[in-house]
Amino acid sequence: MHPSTTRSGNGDGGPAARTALLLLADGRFPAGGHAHSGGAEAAVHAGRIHDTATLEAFLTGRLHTAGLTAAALAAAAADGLDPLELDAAADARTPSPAQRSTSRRLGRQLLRAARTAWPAPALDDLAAALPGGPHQPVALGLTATAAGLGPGDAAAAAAYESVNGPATACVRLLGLDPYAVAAVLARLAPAADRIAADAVEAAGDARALGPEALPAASAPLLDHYAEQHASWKVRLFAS
Amino acid sequence: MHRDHADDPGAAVPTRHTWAPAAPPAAAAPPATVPDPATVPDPAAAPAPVPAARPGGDRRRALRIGLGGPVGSGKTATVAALCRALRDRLSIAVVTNDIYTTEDAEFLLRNAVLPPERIAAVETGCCPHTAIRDDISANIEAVEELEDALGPLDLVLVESGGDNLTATFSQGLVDAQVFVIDVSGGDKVPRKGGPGVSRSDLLVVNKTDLAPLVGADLGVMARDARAQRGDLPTVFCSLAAPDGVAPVASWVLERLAAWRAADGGPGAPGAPGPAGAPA
Repeated sequence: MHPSTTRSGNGDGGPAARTALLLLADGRFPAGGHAHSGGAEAAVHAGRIHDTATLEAFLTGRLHTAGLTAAALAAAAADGLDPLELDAAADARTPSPAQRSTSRRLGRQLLRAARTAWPAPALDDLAAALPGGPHQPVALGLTATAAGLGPGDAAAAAAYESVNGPATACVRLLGLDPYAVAAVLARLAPAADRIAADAVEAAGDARALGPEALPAASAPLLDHYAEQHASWKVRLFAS
Repeated sequence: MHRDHADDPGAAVPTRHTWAPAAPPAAAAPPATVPDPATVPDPAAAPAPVPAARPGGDRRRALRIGLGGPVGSGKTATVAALCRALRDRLSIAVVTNDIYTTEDAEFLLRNAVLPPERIAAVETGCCPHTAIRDDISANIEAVEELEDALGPLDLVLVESGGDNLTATFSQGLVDAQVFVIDVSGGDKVPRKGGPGVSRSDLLVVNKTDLAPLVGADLGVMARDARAQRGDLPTVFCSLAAPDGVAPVASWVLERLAAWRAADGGPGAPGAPGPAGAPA
């Protein structure tokens, strides 16, 4: 990875890093995400998601709230802001204790995969500083850096993850037509790109003003679902 | 939800390890009766066995054995029987991978085969085979958390959720794997093969006592298993019989001895370390 191509311009990784981004964003990258529905299982249970249209509405909401917040944290981490400060900022932006636990566990699982795929002292330091696991977006941002990617890539991966995981979960939970769900994700792609761009901009603000400048968009129903879901005895997904 | 194991409403709810339930990390070991998961603390004959290389160069950790197989073949019963047979001589922990509940872990708890702190449940998001093969991170974490919490262990059993004949464990998760089928699933199962039947380190054909009742020909199963597996061992057992797990327990002890020999440990003093790949 040539340094001059990885952190240039708007923060996107250069062409040299494109495949690394594909690998990082691949749902089969072994970072634990497959067992999580991002609130979709609870929303299905509540009857709020029952077909492709309701899934699209759910994903749109998630992208613009939890997705934006995660993407901005990831971009800021990839932009070199203090990961421990960002981790505290993520805590402050995650009111649900169940979601905080989930995020830290997924952060730790991502770090495990990342430290093997893209070994870097920054990842070792983060794991040592937060043995219980950093928040997932923070781990994602530092992983992006270790992979030769930039803040724009980290934000794009976070925004994509925020909708891809729940969409896949609904294919499994409801037996939705996978082609129709792929079409939903394709329709959401421009919005996800805009969210990623907004996240990069916010990360730029945060470099000057501190993590307080990062967005704190939240979805109270998702928070509520997360708490409910954590109390279920029988469920298919871990969150 | 299936409730095919004997129920006991007073049983403890096991801690689940793929997610951290809403609880302060300072909370201690799972108490005997905790009804609300939201408050449960977050802790996680044939050829001689080939000594397994230890992944990651870790020469201290426990031997990890995976148990897979179709739903209802007796995986949990095998785990329970192994724990009873070996717990007095070995320090054991168990990770279960239920498909959508903590039922298997609860079964182990109810039957008191191990103390609660030695049992962890992992959730698999509709795909039990993914959690043991493609993305093993949640299982690895559960195993490591058990080792961290309990100190050095001899043996960790990782039980997969009931799945199909294609499910196998990753070499990154376990050192050896057992595939459990049963005669009531039909005596054609060994012939059908699949990675579990053909490549597992030990094939267990359970419920042999039912063979006459379901018209299963054990001779055919043995012949087909040999054709699929070559020199890999197959044992026939009935866990319903006293000490029915003995052939499986013997195999586990052989693997453990080979594992310890791999770094000249107490299993086989003076044994040379292995240079080869995992079995």
